[in-house]
Amino acid sequence: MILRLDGVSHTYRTPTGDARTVLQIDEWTLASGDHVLLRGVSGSGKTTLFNIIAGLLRPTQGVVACDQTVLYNLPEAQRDRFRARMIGYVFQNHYLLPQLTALENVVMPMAFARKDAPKTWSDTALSLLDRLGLREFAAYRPSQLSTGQRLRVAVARALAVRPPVLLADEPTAALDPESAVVVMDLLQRLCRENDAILIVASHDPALSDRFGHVVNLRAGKLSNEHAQAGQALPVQAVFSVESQIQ
Amino acid sequence: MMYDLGISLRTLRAHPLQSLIPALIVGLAVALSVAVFALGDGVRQGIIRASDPFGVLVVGPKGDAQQLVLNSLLLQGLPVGTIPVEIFDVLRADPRVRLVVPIATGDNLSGAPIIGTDASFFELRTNINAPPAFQIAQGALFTEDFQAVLGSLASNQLGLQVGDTFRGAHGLGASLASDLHENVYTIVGVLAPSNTPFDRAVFTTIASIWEVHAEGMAETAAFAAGAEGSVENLTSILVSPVGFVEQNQLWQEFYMATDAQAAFPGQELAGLFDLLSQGERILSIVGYLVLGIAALTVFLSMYNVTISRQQEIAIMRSLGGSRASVFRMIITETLIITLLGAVIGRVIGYAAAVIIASVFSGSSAIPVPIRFLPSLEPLLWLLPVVVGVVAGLIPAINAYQVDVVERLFPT
Repeated sequence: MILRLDGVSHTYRTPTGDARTVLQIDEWTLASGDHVLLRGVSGSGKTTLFNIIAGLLRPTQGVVACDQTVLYNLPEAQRDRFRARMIGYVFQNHYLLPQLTALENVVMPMAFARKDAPKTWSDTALSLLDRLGLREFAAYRPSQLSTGQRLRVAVARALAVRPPVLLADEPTAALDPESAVVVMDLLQRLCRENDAILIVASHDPALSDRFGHVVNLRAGKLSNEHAQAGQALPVQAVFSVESQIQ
Repeated sequence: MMYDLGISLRTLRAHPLQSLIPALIVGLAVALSVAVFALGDGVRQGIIRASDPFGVLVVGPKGDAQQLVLNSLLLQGLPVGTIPVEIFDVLRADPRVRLVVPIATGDNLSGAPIIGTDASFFELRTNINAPPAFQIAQGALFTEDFQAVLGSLASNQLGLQVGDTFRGAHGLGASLASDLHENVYTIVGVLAPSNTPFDRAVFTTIASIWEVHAEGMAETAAFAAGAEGSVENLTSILVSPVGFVEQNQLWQEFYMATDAQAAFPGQELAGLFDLLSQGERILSIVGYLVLGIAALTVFLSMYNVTISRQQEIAIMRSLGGSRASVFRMIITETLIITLLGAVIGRVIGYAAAVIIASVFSGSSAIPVPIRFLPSLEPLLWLLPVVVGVVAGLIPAINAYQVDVVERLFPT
């Protein structure tokens, strides 16, 4: 699957009425199996970019396409269905539903996507929780889980429908270094198994080594990461970031 | 769909007070309607059974015919007045009449009416082939003045048995000791339950009643204010004609007469039922008002819940839940609340009706059978559904309009 952003920009009005452009991407293309670390300071546009890819925020300009499907040409209901089936999203704050158990939280996207038969939902969810070391916590509510456990439930939820695109926003921000390693291992391994595109937004410098592709988002614009002074990371065929850097 | 329902149920359980209080208010509204209609039906059935079991005409003084029937057959309210005993003699000699039962009331025993009558009372039957409606359970019928026979309920409530004695009091309500007559009655028998208002009565001879009042002519018992100052009066006569034609002839004759009237219990109680229906209508309106208040409560509760749950709704939307599915979820939740209320309402309503009916029956001896009313069911399910949908509409629209990005990423 190819995920393509073409001439995407997003501008909003500030309370004083000024127009502020928070994202401006000329072209960005990712293919199945790509794992990308997206780095950027707060306010650099990472979350805006994720929301645009997830079909939650219509860009002011430009095209977001998955293969032949132009996301924002779809009516909203179809875009919701697209999101349910194609996008996994791990939020920085986890955003688990407090009234549901861990298992029910993981089942939820399956119910929205309706990719698989309902009778398989619980088994799939349990299997995922098992792989994330949470089987015995399946009946726990989020309030009964630790921060790391909640994050792992959120990861299981994001992967429940085996989405071709997985977005993870600061997944390790609230974790100790050991837990961060465990979670990132799992996230990358599961995405590899699904041949999914993984985009992780993080400030965590420890994550750079895990990713072949690291891109910076500064003031809404993407640029390649230079891991060490004077050394540019090789630009893959599927990346066209370099061409946009001014 | 089942999953959506599961989410809705989980959500309601997560907010128990916000879910249960509106459900209880809907329940009270439904309970009010159920109790009103079930009691109305029960009272109607009870009055029909109690007032016209013997197919008699009630003959009494001119005046309020409904009161005459209520007093003579249901033992409710005061006698209309008295009629001369000669009317009884004329009727007894009339070949068109199969049975004539004299009734003289005016005294009570701790609230139980004392009825002066004769052996003919114990010949009353629900139909010509049925056994007598009143059977002796203990002792025997009275054979002499100041002997008394107690109805089953009167015996139980007053704790009196065969061989006990008592003194009657003026009037038809419970009296002070100073109101008691001097004459002492002896209980000679107790009747088996008849499931009529007469179960709470005390029976004695007519002559006993006359004698008691002859000794206290100047006193104020209703009975004593009879025609021409005589105490040998009756408050009513139950007349069982030999046939339908004769019944109508007698009614016609009394209609033309100036000293007494005859009343068909069924006809008179139809007027009472009209009154009852009006009462039901008023209470139904109250029920609808309560249901309206319940709708507002459900609306406010769901509105608050959806406001406080905007982030949850946004999370669902971000995971692929459509606007339609969150709209459906909120409507489902309000429907669960109102339908839960409908179930609670039925339980409370019928339970309240049974308790009220039991208290009413205990004090009046008019049986009030409470039965399930299938005819009410469509309305009592439909109304909560309508309330649920209407009350859930605005909260559901709110949920429909939640801005996912604004809610999840406020900065």
